[in-house]
Amino acid sequence: MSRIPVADLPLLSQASRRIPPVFKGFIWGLVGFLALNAIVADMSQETPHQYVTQVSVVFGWIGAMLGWVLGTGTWEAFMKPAFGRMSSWQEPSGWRRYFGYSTNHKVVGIQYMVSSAGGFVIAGIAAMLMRIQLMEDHMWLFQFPQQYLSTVGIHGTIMMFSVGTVFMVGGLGNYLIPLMVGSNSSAFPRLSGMSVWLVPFGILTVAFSPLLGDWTTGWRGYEPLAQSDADGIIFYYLGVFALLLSSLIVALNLTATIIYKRAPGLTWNRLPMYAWGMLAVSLLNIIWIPEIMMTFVLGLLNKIVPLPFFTALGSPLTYLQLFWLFGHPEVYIVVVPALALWMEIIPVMGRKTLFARQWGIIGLVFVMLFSGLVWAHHMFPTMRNQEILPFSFFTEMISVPTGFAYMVAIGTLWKSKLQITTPTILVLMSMFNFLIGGLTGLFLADPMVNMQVHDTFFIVGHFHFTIIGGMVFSSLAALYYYLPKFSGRMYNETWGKFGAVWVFLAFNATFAQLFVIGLRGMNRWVPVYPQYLQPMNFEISIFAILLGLGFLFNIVYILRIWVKGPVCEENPWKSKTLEWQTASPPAEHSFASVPRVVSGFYDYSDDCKSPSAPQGKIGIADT
Amino acid sequence: MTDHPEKPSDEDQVNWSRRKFLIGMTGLAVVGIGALFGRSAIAQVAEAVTGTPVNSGVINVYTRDYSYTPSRMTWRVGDQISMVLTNKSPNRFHEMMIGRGFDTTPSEFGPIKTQFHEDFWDGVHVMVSEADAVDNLATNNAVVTCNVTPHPWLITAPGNGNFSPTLMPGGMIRFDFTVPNKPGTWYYGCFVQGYRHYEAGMQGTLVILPA
Repeated sequence: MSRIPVADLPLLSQASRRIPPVFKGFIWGLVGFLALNAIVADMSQETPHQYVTQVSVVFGWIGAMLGWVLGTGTWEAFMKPAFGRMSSWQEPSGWRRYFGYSTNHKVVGIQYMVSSAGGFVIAGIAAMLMRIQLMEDHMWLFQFPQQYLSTVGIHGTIMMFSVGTVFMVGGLGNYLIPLMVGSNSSAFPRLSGMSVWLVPFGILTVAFSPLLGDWTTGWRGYEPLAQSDADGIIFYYLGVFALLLSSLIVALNLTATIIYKRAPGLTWNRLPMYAWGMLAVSLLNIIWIPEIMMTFVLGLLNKIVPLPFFTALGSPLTYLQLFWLFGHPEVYIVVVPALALWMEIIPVMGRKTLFARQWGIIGLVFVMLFSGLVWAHHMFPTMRNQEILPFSFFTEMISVPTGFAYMVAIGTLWKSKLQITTPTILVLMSMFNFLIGGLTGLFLADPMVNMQVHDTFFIVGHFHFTIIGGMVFSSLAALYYYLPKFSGRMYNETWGKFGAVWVFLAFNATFAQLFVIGLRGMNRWVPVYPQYLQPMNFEISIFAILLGLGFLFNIVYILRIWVKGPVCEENPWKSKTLEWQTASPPAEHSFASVPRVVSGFYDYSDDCKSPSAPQGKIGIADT
Repeated sequence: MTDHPEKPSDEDQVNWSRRKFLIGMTGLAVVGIGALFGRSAIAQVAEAVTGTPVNSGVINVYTRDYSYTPSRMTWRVGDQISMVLTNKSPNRFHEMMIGRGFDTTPSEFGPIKTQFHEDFWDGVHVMVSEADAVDNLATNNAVVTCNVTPHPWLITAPGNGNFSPTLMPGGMIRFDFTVPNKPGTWYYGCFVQGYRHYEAGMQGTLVILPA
């Protein structure tokens, strides 16, 4: 029988000499890179000796990832106890706990959101650089086209894999889902304490990819095009691999949490809509992320070995098939949480029972099921007619379950006593934008139109309306809606609405023009274009910069309120879902006693009763 | 989930310094941005500080995707040099031109550099002593003697571009010459594949010192 040696305990109070865990992560990551890179580079037979080679940088990156994740606290808090030694981890208090390992799902959720917002800013800066280049019709900001294309790739990659996939799933999901299902922790808290650190690591890997050389493939890493790129593409594959690994762990964690950690009485019939959305998204992630991770590994091997998987010796179209097989479900990974969030916010703001709830769930689940059937519409120009038609059919059909979710939102709005708050108008804006994105999507599903506008700015307009319009506006709605939950503080409605209107106007002024300029002949992927498109591009760039400033305003305003806004009541929206039945912000353990759910959450007809009761007091709410 | 039994109580908690954290994060950001946007400037400063030794005798030059090793060389007028050029790329052809200034051709992307305007090898006596997997050798105005028979490659006559050996993946060529009396700074580069190699960074600097 072993005992914890008492003599060691005073060591714990020497924490004042500790360096911040993120710095330890940087140092360990650097050591890990240098060590593994040196070992592999040393085995190389090449003369003259090169310290960084294609192969050594891959192994060095793995060393850096291990060092970074272990250094941010996983070593003390997780690995040492796993080896039977004493944990020397002390979770700091206050804001410092967000800069190290934590098993608290609320801390992890906020870490995901902040990392994701950091990615949003970095990718947004890349977008601004692109728009500045496009203000003129010749090369002027960038020296070479490859630099522009690298910027396009960094923008798209970080936006898709660290914002679109992560913010509402890793961020809001980790924070809200345990609360929504009435649990004090997620199913795998230590795993998510580690996985969250892969997000900043992946973002930085992609952002620093130009150090190895420019790459031209965009966020899709297309082979065999990537074969003729410089080595920066290696960091694309590796960075995305880290981000996807993190999302995969989130998906496993959320699925297990929703299935196994539900409070007593929280049946599938009573499960909140956002939890349904997270379940659908997590299943999508569990199906498709391993597939695309393996594709990226093949792409990497294709580059560094090299193996002829996707070259002319293999099949050049294989990569496109494999990529879009994941790439289209990815769009729904981004959008399904937004649809679920509408159904969460609208009943509360409208004080009206959620309309046709079961059809909303059917919509979310069928969007998830159909999303794997439509990938080939991204490749219409490479296909024969008889191959195109079924994919055109499925693509148009996916608008039906999407419509279910839409109709649930509209049905709930119908004759409701809608409070026009910032989250409300952001949800309405999101519905408006997403509708435009969806309707233009119908054109794109049509092979004849698709052939005409393929790879023009029409497509760019379409998916930005879907993803910024749908997901980013909903994320902003969620941020304003849950701000009292996260911080216990309330924003000012005037400033909130000002920020919302600002981004809405700038967004529509920017991206609505992309449809027009696309039809006029503006192609994607080119930093240089015919002169007649220059005035319109210039104008779009001005609005794009205004949009960037609008997002910056909202981020800064939300952070400011988070830190020093006026304190508000615990459930300002009078919502009935479980996450609002705790203190705001929630204590270390959200629920002092496990709640017992006695009815659904969306019945606002009586306008007062809470659907849950603490254990042992069933009678109060059970009438 | 169970807590670790050793978890310290609240009074044990001593936090790390806020100032150290802010200064460190700012420093890391500055270093990162500097590395990302100023990498060529940093490399130039490092080269200027460390300098490059004068190369003589047998010189190995490697072509990669897309760089030369070394990317900076110094020769002295009158030295006897055997340059061994090896293509390390697993799947791409590479060449090596040496010269100054550019010939350009207009395009939608602005002028594209097609080759150096002034050819370093003009009038230089070059002896090819070894060769393997060479795609072609453009001789231009160099005086080329070839000791490798039969020629495993195509020699193109003057008027087909600067003096440049183009190597297949894994190919090599060795040529001997005396450094001509052309002191100053010269550049080398690979203009293969629509000049994308040069743009992607496949370029180097050659300094010729007077005798």
